[in-house]
Amino acid sequence: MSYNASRQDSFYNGCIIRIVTAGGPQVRTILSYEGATRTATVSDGADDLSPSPTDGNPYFISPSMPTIDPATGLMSWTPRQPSLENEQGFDIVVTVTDEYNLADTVSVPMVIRAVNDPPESFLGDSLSVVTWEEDTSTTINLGKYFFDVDNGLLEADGFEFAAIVLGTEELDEDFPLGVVFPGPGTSNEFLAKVNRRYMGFDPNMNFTSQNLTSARIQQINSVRDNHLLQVEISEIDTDGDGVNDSTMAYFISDTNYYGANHSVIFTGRDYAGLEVSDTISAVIVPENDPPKIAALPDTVMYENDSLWLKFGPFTSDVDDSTLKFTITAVTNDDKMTILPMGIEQEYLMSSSIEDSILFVPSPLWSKQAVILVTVEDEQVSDTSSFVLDIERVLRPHFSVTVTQNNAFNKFFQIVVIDTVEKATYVSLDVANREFDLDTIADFTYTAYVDMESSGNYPIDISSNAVVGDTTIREYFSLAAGRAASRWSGQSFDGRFSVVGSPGAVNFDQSLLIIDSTLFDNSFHDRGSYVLGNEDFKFNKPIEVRMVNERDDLAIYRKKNGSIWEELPSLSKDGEIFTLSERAGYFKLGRKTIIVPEETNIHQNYPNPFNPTTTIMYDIGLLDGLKQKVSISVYNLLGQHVTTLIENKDQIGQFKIQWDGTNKFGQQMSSGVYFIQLSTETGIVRNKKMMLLK
Amino acid sequence: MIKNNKYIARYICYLAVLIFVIGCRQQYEPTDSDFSQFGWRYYEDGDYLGARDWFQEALKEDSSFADAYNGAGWSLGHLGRADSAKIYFSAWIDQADQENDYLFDYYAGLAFANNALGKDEEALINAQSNFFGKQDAVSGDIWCFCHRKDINQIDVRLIQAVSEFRLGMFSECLETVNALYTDLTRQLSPAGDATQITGDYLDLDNSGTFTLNDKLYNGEWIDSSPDGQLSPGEERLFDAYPLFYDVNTVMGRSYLANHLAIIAVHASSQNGKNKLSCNTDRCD
Repeated sequence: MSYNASRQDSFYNGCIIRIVTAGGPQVRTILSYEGATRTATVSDGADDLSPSPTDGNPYFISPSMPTIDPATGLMSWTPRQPSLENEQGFDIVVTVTDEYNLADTVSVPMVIRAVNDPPESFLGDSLSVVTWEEDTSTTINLGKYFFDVDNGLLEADGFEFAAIVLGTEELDEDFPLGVVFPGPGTSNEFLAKVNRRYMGFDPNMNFTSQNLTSARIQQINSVRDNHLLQVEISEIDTDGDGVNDSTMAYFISDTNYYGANHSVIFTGRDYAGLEVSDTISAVIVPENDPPKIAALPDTVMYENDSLWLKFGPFTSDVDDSTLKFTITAVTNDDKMTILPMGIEQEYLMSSSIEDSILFVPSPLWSKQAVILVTVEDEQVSDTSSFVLDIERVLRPHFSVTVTQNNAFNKFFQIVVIDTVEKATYVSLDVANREFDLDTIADFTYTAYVDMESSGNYPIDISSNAVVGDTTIREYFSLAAGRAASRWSGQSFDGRFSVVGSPGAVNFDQSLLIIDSTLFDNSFHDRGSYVLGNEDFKFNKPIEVRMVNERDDLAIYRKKNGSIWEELPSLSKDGEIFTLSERAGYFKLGRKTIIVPEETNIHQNYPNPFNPTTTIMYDIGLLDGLKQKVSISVYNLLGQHVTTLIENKDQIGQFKIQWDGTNKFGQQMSSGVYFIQLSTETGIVRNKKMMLLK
Repeated sequence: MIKNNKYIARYICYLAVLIFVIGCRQQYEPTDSDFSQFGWRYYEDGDYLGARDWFQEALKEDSSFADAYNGAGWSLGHLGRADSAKIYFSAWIDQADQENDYLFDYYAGLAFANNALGKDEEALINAQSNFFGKQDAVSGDIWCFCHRKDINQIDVRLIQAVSEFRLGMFSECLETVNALYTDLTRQLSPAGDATQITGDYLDLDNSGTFTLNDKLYNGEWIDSSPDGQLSPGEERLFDAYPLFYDVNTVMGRSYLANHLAIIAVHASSQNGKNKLSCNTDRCD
């Protein structure tokens, strides 16, 4: 529409052109033109012409300005009507007023026929930047920044929204890598169109066929799937009438993500396909995140060792790449040296998970230390602790055995085995004489030694090990048995000794004496000793002594390789004494046999008696093992009456009864009788008895 | 008085005749065999030094007298001169008729001597290959040393086991120890020896003889009671026969070494429990 107002001079300062709606409840001036100033303004409040498309004003007309060409006086105006359904009538009223305020008016009726108008946006002009803090979100009401003069902006109005978040890594113009977030009711067609526009293709299609390299596809997928910033468009009901009335855009950023200058494009399309797009910037203001250190596992290390530990893998901080690590020993701090990166410094400024801390316990120290790890950024810190268990490293533990050459018994084999496999070097001295050790297998060594004279032979084993050098001393002893003379021997500790008389052995020979420590793995009778070969039988009993003050103990000897047999023993002068016919294993045990020292006979009781009396007698140990004790009764004439005991060898205290009969069973008459104890070794003891009938 | 004088005169006559006879007797020259017999007498009395001298005298008489080499070797061995003993044993073996001469004394002596000298490879050869390798196991001719019968083939078997151990042949050593048990037990098996063998093994299957089901009284046990007795439920350490030790481990080797030491004590030759009935026919 154009209207000629070319009579400029006549209208100077006096020509007013008004366009008013026709048919409305009142005349509304929607434009006045005052020729003198040649400005055109849209009337507002007074004429109730709000520019807001949301107030439901049926008379809203877009603020597109009518223009009047001064040269031609033609007025141009492109009005927009709020409704597509109704025609809107207007009157163009031109009022001319001269300098004497004389006026004339001419009115030109006009009808504006409705056509669909495109949606419009002033989002970028009004807002331009939306800002929120990391770990939070923000919302804008799209209805405040978008309008459509003749359509609503809701899904119900057929309006479609989409938001496009442009990545910060643009590949090229063909692939801007915009991520499209649809609004409610956005059609696939519109979505595909927007995707093609901002991504270059529709990602919902099979894009592998689009001659994209696999690297490109991988990159696209990465951008598309890893949404650090999302825009969620939804409609809400603000007035609670059950009908959505506003379209909201929620800006959601990934936790701990922050950044600036994300371009976010909002695109709207009305039902007829007219679109509007506007762009704002999204800025996520960073917020400091505290460093976090996870629970640290307890750790074991070995004595005299050192250990590098990394705490980076247990630590996280989303917004700091350099953290300060301070590691201290809460317990046993004087035993632990903690060296960040292996050097002496109080803390470690670390920017790599590969950075390590060196823990060095004091040499030969093995316990636990509680380690506190503190990690700090520039503002806050976090701590975690763990137990560093420094395990003691086993020292060499030697099993030592001594084996005698059974025929040429001056020669011995010593086997040394480190049963914990720690020794790195082993040496052997026997009686301060060094012997070569053959290494016959891992941690297994042997040596041959030859010893002849009676005595104690210390076996000194010295070893070096990874941790802790070890020296042990074991002993074996030799009793040099002599066929023609008295001989003796004792264990290294002096607690076990033997004495043999001439003739006890057939020939000169070395009798090995060892204690149970040399049978570590197999011998469980501690404090026992082995003399020579088990069950070696001497020609004459040998004296065996074991040092002990107790008188309730006796010496036991192993019988048949398994059963301990009590030997008649005497406690005297701090020693326990016995006689043994055999070599083998000896130990102390509970005394159960009453052992007299000397062989003797006691006075009978009752005395006088009729016809029976009891006679006690002792077979004493000190008088020998094989005494062959006999007890007989004689009359006053020295005639043999009867024999009560004959050739008894057992050591101990015994009693017998005599019933007053002779060897033929005949009852003897009253009188004095003698009871006589005699031994094969020449002992004779008599007692007088009286049979009184 | 006259009567007494007659007696005196008679005695004088007798004495004169006796002196005459003795004086006319040809001087007796002891032979190598005599010297050797003297040597063995000294040996059996435990006077190894004296024995050695007599054997060496015998060899002066006859340097090819096998018995003297044998005696000298054994005497020197007991004297702690294992190196010299080895020389005597070897000297005779070099001269001996390997097919006909009885050489087990020498092989055994060499095994003992080499063991004493730490010559384990040679000790093993003499014990394993020469001694047991040439022994007729089928005939059951069990060897013992005639002049000290307490030294028998169990001692040689021990030398073999010790040598194998020393050479790091632990598996073989274990086999030898098990073979030693065979030596020990086969003499205990006859039913007639039932009383004798009581206590030497647990006749768990009541078969009256030692079988693999039984347990030997050959070592120590854990006296958990403790009562000094092997009670039911108490485990012995070395009662399983044959033995099974993992000799690839130090503990297995340690057990084996201990076992060797214990069995050397237990199954020793000297009047010990082996009670081998060796063939002594050749000793007469």
